[in-house]
Amino acid sequence: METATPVNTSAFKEALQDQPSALSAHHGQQVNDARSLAAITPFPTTKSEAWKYTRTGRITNQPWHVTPRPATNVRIEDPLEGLVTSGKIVFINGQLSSAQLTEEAAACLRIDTEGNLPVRLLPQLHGDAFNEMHTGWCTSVIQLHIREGAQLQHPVHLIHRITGKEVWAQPLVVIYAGAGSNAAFVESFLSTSTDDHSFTHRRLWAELAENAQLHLDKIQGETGENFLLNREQVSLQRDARFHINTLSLNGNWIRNELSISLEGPNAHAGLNGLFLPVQQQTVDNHTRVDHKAAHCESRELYKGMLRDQSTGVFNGKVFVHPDAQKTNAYQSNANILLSDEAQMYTKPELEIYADDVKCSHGTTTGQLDEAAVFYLKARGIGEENARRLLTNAFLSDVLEEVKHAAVRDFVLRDLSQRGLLYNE
Amino acid sequence: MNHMLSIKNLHVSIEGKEILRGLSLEIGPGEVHAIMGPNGSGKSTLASVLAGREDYEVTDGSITLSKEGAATVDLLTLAPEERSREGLFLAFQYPVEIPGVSNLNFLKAALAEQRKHRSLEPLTAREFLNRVNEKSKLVELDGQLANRAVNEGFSGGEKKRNEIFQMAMLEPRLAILDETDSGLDIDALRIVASGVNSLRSKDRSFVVITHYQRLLEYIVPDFVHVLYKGRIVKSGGRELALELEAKGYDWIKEENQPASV
Repeated sequence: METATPVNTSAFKEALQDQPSALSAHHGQQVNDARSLAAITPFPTTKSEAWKYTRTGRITNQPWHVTPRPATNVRIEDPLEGLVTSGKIVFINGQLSSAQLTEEAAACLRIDTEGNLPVRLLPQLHGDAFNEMHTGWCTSVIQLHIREGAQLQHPVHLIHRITGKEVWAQPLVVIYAGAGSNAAFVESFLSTSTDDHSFTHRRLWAELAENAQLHLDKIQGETGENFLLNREQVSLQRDARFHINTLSLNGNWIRNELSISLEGPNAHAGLNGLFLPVQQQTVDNHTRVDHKAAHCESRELYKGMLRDQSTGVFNGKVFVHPDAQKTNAYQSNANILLSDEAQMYTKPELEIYADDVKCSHGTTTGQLDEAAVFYLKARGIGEENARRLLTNAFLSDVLEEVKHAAVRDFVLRDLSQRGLLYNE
Repeated sequence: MNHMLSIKNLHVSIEGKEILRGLSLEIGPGEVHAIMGPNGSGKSTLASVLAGREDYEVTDGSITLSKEGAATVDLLTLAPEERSREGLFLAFQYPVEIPGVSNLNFLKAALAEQRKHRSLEPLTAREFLNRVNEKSKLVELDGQLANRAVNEGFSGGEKKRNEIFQMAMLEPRLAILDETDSGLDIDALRIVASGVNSLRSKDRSFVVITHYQRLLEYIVPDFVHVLYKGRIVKSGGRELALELEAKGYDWIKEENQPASV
């Protein structure tokens, strides 16, 4: 046939045919189904609305392969040295390398690496081609059970490290936050070799039981030719609170898809994001918040600062279901373009099926306020310092909600070292 | 005697349209000059050009500012921040709101750069806060600035008081008040004027740009100039302002009709 080669027969699917999936042992049927579906499901293209501005071609035409399981307990440099943790869980090329908890944390948190998922979560394995690929060739599964009422003193650090070429990394992280528990995670994607070449699709599912609190600071700052897809699905029961900061500092191609489901009354979700692409980098943030119960609140704030020929995407959807009365939903996306060639595509969406709700959304994209620059200069502040004050001010409200000082310091240091932000 | 500021035959255009057409003005140390005039006469253009706003093109003339000591400097060669560090201050007609930058950080940064320029040590945190406390009292803003961003959410009156507060903090040698009275109720006007009066000294000069005579009841000028069609067409003492108040600007316009050809 003369029509274009279907993407489902692209090089890397063939290359992966004989590779195992971390889900095979307990979910062989799902893995086989996923592989069959993967063979016939095309990858999304810019023709579909959800992928309109983010190309997948550079991912789908590569001969990716699963690297052999790494030696356990490989020593790796911790990029967040100053961070006091309750434990570290290390993935190398998507494979679990080590999981160490402090004694205190071990009493709060049980780690399960068996790859045996509860039946209720199995439907989530499927979806588009990326999900089928993930299930079919999952590289590792880790399930974290936070005990009821447990109060974790320090965050657990999930470290994702890439090393080598044509690396295919597809870990699955599942977090069960027991009723009344309180825990924080820091997750870092900070491989710093410029020789790396990888595709990482990390899926994270979190279930928050009644009155549970979970905080996640996610740092993305890879330097090689890496493609990073993160999909998070989070459900919240009554009175639960979830907060995530998505900090996209550096990376060739980043896409975050965040789906939050507020399922019990008085649940609260906070979603913040910061993205500062340079050169030809792409950062794509897709979020969806489903308000399914009454009296819930969601607050969403994404800020982008784009340079050079970079591309940013924000697509945020808030969906208020018919029973979700007294919903309070707030969504905002603000961007600054620091170059004539940078592009920002932003689309806030609200769909409301309840009649007694408070929802707001807004987006702005512009340059640094030149009137403000002049005002500062007129008080004796030099041009460069004036711009630095304004840049830092623009990003400050997102940075303020980063929970751990060591993470915030890392972000400030990284951005200022690369000249993207000025340090006081 | 050296002039604080000397403007000679100033011609200024914006987008090809000439706004100032040969304006000359000399201001001595410690003097307060009021510049009045009908709308569109070029008052705010003059303020903007003095502060160094870049949208304006100076096509002819000169502006000389005295430096500390006997030297002078060609103001037009200086960037806005350099003018400020040489002691020039503009109280904005429309102060800019800057979300995310706190009032105090902003002033700390400004003072640090000003003092560095004058080879002075930076103020200690205590000295800085003492100065904030002392100066904010002048305009009755004490205790209201600490946790707020620059001008964000300020009322019109608060913004103008904040301009005078900044002036008090920076202690300029030449202050230009661009329609600082516009939009103020009588109480705010009184506060602003008393703040300005407390800063009057033999070494500090003021240019008070206003459309209305009312402000000059509170800030009594040494000289009053009438700006019309980009030129100073009449100068006098304080009584000129009263005459303008009584008679309006029409007689000025009539006196300055272009000769019919």
